Parts: sequence; C-alpha cells; structure tokens
Amino acid sequence: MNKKSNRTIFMTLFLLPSCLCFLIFYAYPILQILVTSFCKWDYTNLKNPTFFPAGELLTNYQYILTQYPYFWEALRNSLCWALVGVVIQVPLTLVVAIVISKGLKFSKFARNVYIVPSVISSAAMGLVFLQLYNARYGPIQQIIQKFNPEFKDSILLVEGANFWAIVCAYVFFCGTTAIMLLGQIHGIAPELYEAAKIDGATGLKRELYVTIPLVKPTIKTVTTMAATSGFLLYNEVFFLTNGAAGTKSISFIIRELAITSSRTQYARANTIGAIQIVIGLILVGVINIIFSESKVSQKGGKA
Amino acid sequence: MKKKLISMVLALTLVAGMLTGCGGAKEETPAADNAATEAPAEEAEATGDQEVLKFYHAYFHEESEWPVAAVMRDIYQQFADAHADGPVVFEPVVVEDVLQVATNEIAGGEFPDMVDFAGNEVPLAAIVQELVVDLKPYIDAEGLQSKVGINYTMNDVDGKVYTVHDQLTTLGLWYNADLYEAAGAATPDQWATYEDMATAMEALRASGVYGYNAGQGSERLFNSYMAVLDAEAMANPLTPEVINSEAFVTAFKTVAAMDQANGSAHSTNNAGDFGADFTEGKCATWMNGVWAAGSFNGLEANILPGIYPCSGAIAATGGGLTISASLSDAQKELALEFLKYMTSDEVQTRIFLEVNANPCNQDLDLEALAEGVDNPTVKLLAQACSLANSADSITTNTGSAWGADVYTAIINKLIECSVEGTDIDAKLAELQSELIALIG
Amino acid sequence: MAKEKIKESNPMSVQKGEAVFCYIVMAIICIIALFPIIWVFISSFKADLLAEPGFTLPSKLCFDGYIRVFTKLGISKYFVNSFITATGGTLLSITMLSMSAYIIARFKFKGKGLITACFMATMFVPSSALTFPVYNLIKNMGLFDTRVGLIFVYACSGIAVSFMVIRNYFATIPVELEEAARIDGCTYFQTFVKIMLPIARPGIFTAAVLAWLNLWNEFYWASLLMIDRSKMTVPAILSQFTTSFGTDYNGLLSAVVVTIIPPVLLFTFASKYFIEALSGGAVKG
Repeated sequence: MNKKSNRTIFMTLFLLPSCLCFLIFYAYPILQILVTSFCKWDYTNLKNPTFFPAGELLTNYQYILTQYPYFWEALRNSLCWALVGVVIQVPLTLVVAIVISKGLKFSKFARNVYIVPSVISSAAMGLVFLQLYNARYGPIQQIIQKFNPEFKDSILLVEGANFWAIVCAYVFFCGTTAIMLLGQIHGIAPELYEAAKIDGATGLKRELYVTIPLVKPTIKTVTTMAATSGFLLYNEVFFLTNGAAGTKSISFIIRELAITSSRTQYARANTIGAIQIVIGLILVGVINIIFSESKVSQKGGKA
Repeated sequence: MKKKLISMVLALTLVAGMLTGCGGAKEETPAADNAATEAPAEEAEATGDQEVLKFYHAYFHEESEWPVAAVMRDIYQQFADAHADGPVVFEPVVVEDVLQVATNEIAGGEFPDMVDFAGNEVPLAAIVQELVVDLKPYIDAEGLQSKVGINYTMNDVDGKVYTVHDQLTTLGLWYNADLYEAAGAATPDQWATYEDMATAMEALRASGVYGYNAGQGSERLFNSYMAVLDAEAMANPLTPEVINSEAFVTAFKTVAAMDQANGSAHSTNNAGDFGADFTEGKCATWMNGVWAAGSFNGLEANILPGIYPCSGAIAATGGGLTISASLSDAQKELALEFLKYMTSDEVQTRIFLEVNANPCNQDLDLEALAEGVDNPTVKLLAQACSLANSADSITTNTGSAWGADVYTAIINKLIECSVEGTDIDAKLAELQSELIALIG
Repeated sequence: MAKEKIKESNPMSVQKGEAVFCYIVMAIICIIALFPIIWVFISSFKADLLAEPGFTLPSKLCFDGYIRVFTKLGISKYFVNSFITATGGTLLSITMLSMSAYIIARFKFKGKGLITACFMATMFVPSSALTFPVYNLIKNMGLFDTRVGLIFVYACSGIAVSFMVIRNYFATIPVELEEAARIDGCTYFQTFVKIMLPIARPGIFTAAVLAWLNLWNEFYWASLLMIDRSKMTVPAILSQFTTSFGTDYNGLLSAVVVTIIPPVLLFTFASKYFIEALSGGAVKG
C-alpha cells in the first residue's frame, strides 16, 4: 500500500513540470483555437470574440471550406509535402545514420559537415535557395537550359515544377534526425552484433535484422518528424515564392489570415489551425498504426 | 495495435473534451482583458515626478549599415533633449518590428504610447476599436495642413486622421536613358498611353535588354492605371463591383500582357531584386520609389526618373506617427508637439537632404533646396519628387486602399501571368473570384 | 516501407563493398550539405554578389562584411545572449522532459495515452495562435523584456521532439536493469538518477543538442518578447543588412558565416565526448 502511494507521488512529481508547461503554454492556446473557430473574431472585435448564433456555428468552417480561395490548394500541398518528406527523408536518414555509425575514416567529418545546414537559420537558407533558383543568374537555370535551351521562365513560377523546387530546398537536409538515429545505433549493445555475426548475419542482413528492428521506435520518430515538418512547411514557401503560383501551404495561409490580412481574421486563421491540429494528429495516428503493424510482422526476425 | 487504437481514441476524447470546454472559454477571454486593464497603471509609472512618453520606432540599423537610421535617431534625440526638463520625458525606443509591437498591444485592447509605423499600415483594429487619437483637430487648430501634406487627405478615415507619416512613399520609375536611346525606344516622358509603353518595351527587348521589373514592379503599373481609369475605386475599400468593373479588367489585362512579353525571369515579388540589373544596364526600367535615388553610386548621369503612362504616379503615406488614445493630458500634449516638430520645415528639410526621402511638408521647395547642395543623389531625388508630385493622377497604393492580402494576391497573379503561354483571361477570372472571397 | 528502400539502395554484402558504399554515401551527403555552405562562404567575400552571381570565385576578396560584423555591430553581445537563452532553455526543457518521458516510457497508468497525445499535438499548434496567449502570459508574469521570460518560453517550446527522442530511448532500456535496482532497495528516485539517467544519457544528450541547435537561431519569440536590442539573439544581426534600399549581401552573408561557426564548433567539440561515452556500451543486456 505504502509502496503504491510512493509510486503515485513519484509519478506525479515527475510528470508535473511538463504537464504544467503543456497546460500553460499549449492547452490554453489549443483550447482558444478550437473555441474561437466557432466565433466571430476579427479586427472589429479583437477584445471580445463572440460565438456565432446556434444555427450558424460553423460559419467559419463553411467560409474556409467553400469560399476561401486558397484552402484546398494549401491542404493538397501540405499533405503532398508530408508524403514526400516521409518517402525521401526517412530512407535517406536511415542510410546516412547507418553509414556514419560504421566509424570509418572521415565518418566523423561527414557527420559534422552534414549537421551544418541544420544550423544555418532558415532565413539564410531561404536566401541561398532563392539565389540558386534565380532565373537570371542562378546556377539551376543554367543547368535546365543545358537540356532545354528554350526554357526562359522562372522555375519558381512554373506550376508543378515549383513544388519540387521547394521540396529540394529542405528535403535533403535531415542532419538533426540522422544524428538522432545515430545516437540510437550507437546505443545498441555490441554483443548483439557479435551474436548476429555468429548466426551469419553480416552486411545488409545485419542492418535489416539487427539494427533496423532495434532502432524502430526512433525510425517512427524520424517518420513523424519528416511528415510533420513537411506538413507544416512555411519558411520555404515564404522565402521562395511567397505563395505564388499554387505553392501555398497550411501554415502559410494561417499567417496570411492572422497577420498579413489587414482585417486581422483571427477566427478564420484559428479555424484552419483547428483543422491543422486534427489532421496532424491523424497523421501521427496513421504513422503509429503503420509502425505497430510492421512491428508484429518483425517479431519473428527479432527473436 | 489495440493500444495504439486506444491512444487514438484518447486523442479524440481530448479534442472532444476541448470542444465541450466551450463554456469555460467564455470565462477565459476576460482573463486576457484583465491583463489589458492592468497595463496602463504600469505605463503611468513615472521616473521621479516626471511622466514618460515612449516612442517606438524601427530605425535600429548601425550607422555603418544605414546612415539614414542614425540621422532619424538624431532627429528624435534632439527633441528628447529639448524636453528633458519638461513635465514629461520623451523616450525614443528602438524596436525590431514596430508593427508587431503594436499588433500585440492591440490584440489586448491597448496601444503603445506613440509609434512610427514607417509606411506600414495602421492596423484596422486600432482604428475600429478607437485605440488611437484623431489628429485632425490638432492639425486644424495649429494650421498644420500644409505641413502634413497629403496625410491630411489620404489618411482621412470618415473625417478623422489617425496617422501622419513624415515621409512619403512616392513611386514612379527610373530609366536608363542610354539603353532607351540605343534601342530607339520612346522614353517614359513620351508615354501617353500604355500602348506607347508596350511599344517601347518591345523595342528594348529587340535591342537585347529587358524592359522592366515585373511582379511587385508591375503591380505598381496596375495600381497607377487603375487610378487613372477609376480614381474613386482606388481611393476606397475594394468592392465586388470594382473587381468586376471594366477598369479593373482593362488595367489587369494590359499589365499582365506586358508582363508576359517581358518574361517570367524578370518577375518577382521584390522590386529590390532588380537594382543590380538596372545599374548594370541589363534592365532598362526600374519600377521603384524615389528613395532609390541614393542607390545608383555615381551612375546618376545615365539614370533619369519618370512616372507611369497616362501621367500616373503613386504617393502613399502609409502609417506614420500614431498616438495612443489612453495617454494622460500631459503625455498627449508632448506627443502632439512631437508631431508638429517632425513636420516642421526644419526637420522636413533634414529628411529631404539627409534621409533622402520625399518629405510630406508641402511648404518646402525641393528644387531650390537641391540647388543649394552639391550632391547628385539629392538632385536626382528632387527631380523624381517634383515629377511625381506634379503627375495628373496621384494615387495611394493598393495595399493601403485595398489591404495587404489583396495586394499580395494581385502581385502573385501578375507573376503567374508572366510565365510564357499562360492564359491571361483565365488568370483574371481566378483573381476576380479570389478577391471576392478575400474581401468576403 | 523503409525496409524496402534500404534493400534497393544497399547492395553490399561483403566488408569491402560495404566500405565503398559507405564512402559513396558520405561523399554525397557532404556535397549536399556543403553546397549551400560553400555558396554562402564564397559569396561572403564578394563585394557585390549580384554583379558576380553563382558559384564563381570572387574577382577580388572583400572582407568588408566581416570587418563590420566584428567591429561596428558588436556581434559578441548577440552571441552571449543567444548562448545564455539557448542553454538555459535547453537545460530546463530537457530536465523536465527527461522526468516525464521516463514515467511515460516505463510506468503503466491511466491517462498515459492522453498525455502522449497532448504532447504530440503541440507539434501542430501554429505559432501565430500561440503568440498572443504567450505574450500576455509573459507580460502578466512581469517577465516581458527579460532573459528569464525568454528562457521560460524556450523551455516550453519544441517539447514534442525532445519528448519523443528521450521517451524512445528509455523504452529501449531492458526492464531487468530497473527491476534489479528496485530489488536492491533503490527508491524510485534513486533508480531514476543512478541507473536510468546514466544509461539514457545518449538519448538525452541527442535531444539536448537538437534542442540547442534549434534555439540558437530562434528569433520569433526573441523579437516578440524582447524590446531592448541589447538582449536580442543572434538572428537580430541579420536584419541590420536589410534596409528599404535592398539587401547588403556582403554584410549579410558574412554575418551568416560568423553565426554558424559557434554551433558547429560546439557540436564538433561536444559530440566527440558523447560519441566516446557511447562506445563504452552502457547497456549490458
């Protein structure tokens, strides 16, 4: 009995700081987002948002889903960026982490170099890519013109192509997640590898049957992070196209409504925010489900 | 698997729980208000027996990076020094982003003592919620109409003037006379219509340079053309009738067609991107403000100012000095005196000669002032200002009149039209429906 | 899905082939990472970037930007500010999250899923929605325009990622270790401090490095909660170079180079220790 209350006290004390931080810093804003998405709240009544009358509670949702011209474009882009992030970043991160973990010559060098782009502020990175893509003197334009001398347009303005131009500005720079995975791989007990060696698992087999299953939780984290950062993409859009030519993202339109619009449309921005949170949680849920199912199929190999 | 499902369910319950918390949220909002009501007490806090008037501005640059910022700080400091012993201390505060500082205060139903928005629009919310002072009675009483210049009319909101910007955002264009001559193209002073301009651009392209900077640059053409066609529409908030009007369609299609001929490689949302191309003689015309006079580094001889076709120019004030409505009488008195100081002939002369901006004060004779100094930048600036000031159609900018989101949407659409083979009619239809939704 | 990708791109089976493959991958990632950096570095020596764009070497070395950054702009003050706030924020946040991540990873209790979901949801909260409540909170606490306020906000921001990283690391530690400690009579707290923390060090360290790197360049909150420019963080220096005339690329890029040096040095220096600490293999199954 005493033991049990000790345990409860311990757990409470340890959970308390983060939960308090969550409540103060996030729960209130989240609550506000959700609640005010049913309110009229813009420049006319910033001090006191008011609920729409009972029959019209969903006015903002109706506006965003049926009238606001950029919502569907932004949602499509954000989901695509999330998908692309996962498909490209996760395997890339995994390969990089495994390769660096081998401890070959120069691998520390490669690791330290690979982290650098993640340290450059996103404003500076945006500037760099804006220069690289510049249609008048950027190197990318010169490369395209080698293959298609007729091409005179700006790649950032050609619909479709600009989607991938934005992808290239972030998708390869996953230094931080690679370091995260690397930490986990280093944590794997050498005995496990020795045992695997005795069983004849070397090279690719070793990675597939020992390393990857053991770092699976972190791969899940990496997947979640890749999907999230793609889904929340903002800076690249802001710096490269400022939303022109079909490149708006969910985060971008939220800021458009809340900050850029001179009508300070907080409620409508929060309506999109509410949708963003719900879809984000669904994404995390889907990733969880995918990983828990593949875990089951992996169990045989693990034992 | 089951566990994951459970956590999903829990997550959904969380969301549901928050939704049911709606009732509670009503009580949350007043909590935010409390913060607002507490703040003034803190502001009234005095140093010794003197009150403080804080003045927020964003001239934070070191002198080595932008000498103008140091001049402005000096102007502010002189005022502060002159009133050091008065009942209220004037304290200039340098901030990174004035608009952000103000927006945060406004969201809590407050406004900073006094700010200089430096061309950013005064947030509508501040005006609607009456957080800022109407300056018009003071201007009228002191007879400052000519000192504040076009602020008096352009910033008039239902008979009230909430902001006075000491320098104007005056826009025309700059052109490279040598390139025009080499191409045998008609120079901007000969453009009676937009067709004239289009013809000149074609001649320039044929000679191997490109015509002008589109995107932010060509939005200025649209802006000016729209005002030429329908001055009333450009001076008021955007309405669906205007969006579907003949004038809107003509202005957009004319400019978009020129942009497409000009090429998407020369379209961006930042006119500043083209400064280097312009001074290097790759770009014949630079749609940019009079303030760019200082950026030609010794090339002034080739470069001339101009205005848009149909004798159009843009002269916006944007937001400037704006004063909180909740100041004490003594504070307010000093704030208004500062307004008078900033628009005085003496300070306005410095703004022209040292800051190299178009002063709002209409009593100054810019040409005469420029005569008196041996500085090519100032001479060029004087030329550009008087050209723009004497245009037949002088309009405010789209952002001020119609809102920043509308402004961005138009730029984006023009940029999209500049891609070869784009259907301009289809883009126009898209823009029209976008704008109607945006203002809805 | 990840597994299939590896199969395609990982054809080696012998040691030698493996090494060759590794070197190819390392070469590629170095090129990817160096591409922007080299561009920034080369360009920072060009007096007029737009006049000589692209990957060309500067026609004449121009050190103006660097000289100004070090002499006129007082960059050291921004470095100190960023260092204090980023480190303070990281320490607070990692301490707090290590504790809760441990509980979530190792204990069974009601509401665990809810807490996890809550923490994960923080990732999707748009910053524009946080702005006003946080601004008010900090103002009411009397922490506006203070470093303490900023550190507090830093401690609370980005909790999802740190939480995930640390929780996952705790989850990989064998239960037997903990059970053994409990049988030896350790209290819960002792078990955590003496057994679990040392073992989870790599995970915690990784989370701390990630958090710190994020905070070094943080500017959104800094510019929101600080008025006094002498307390601003590193990115404040970048805005010095943009005026209404346009952008001074020489100064801006010099400043970018200077600002990325401390975190890179720190990372290089610190990672040496933490990778070495790891190679000891703390988890003896």
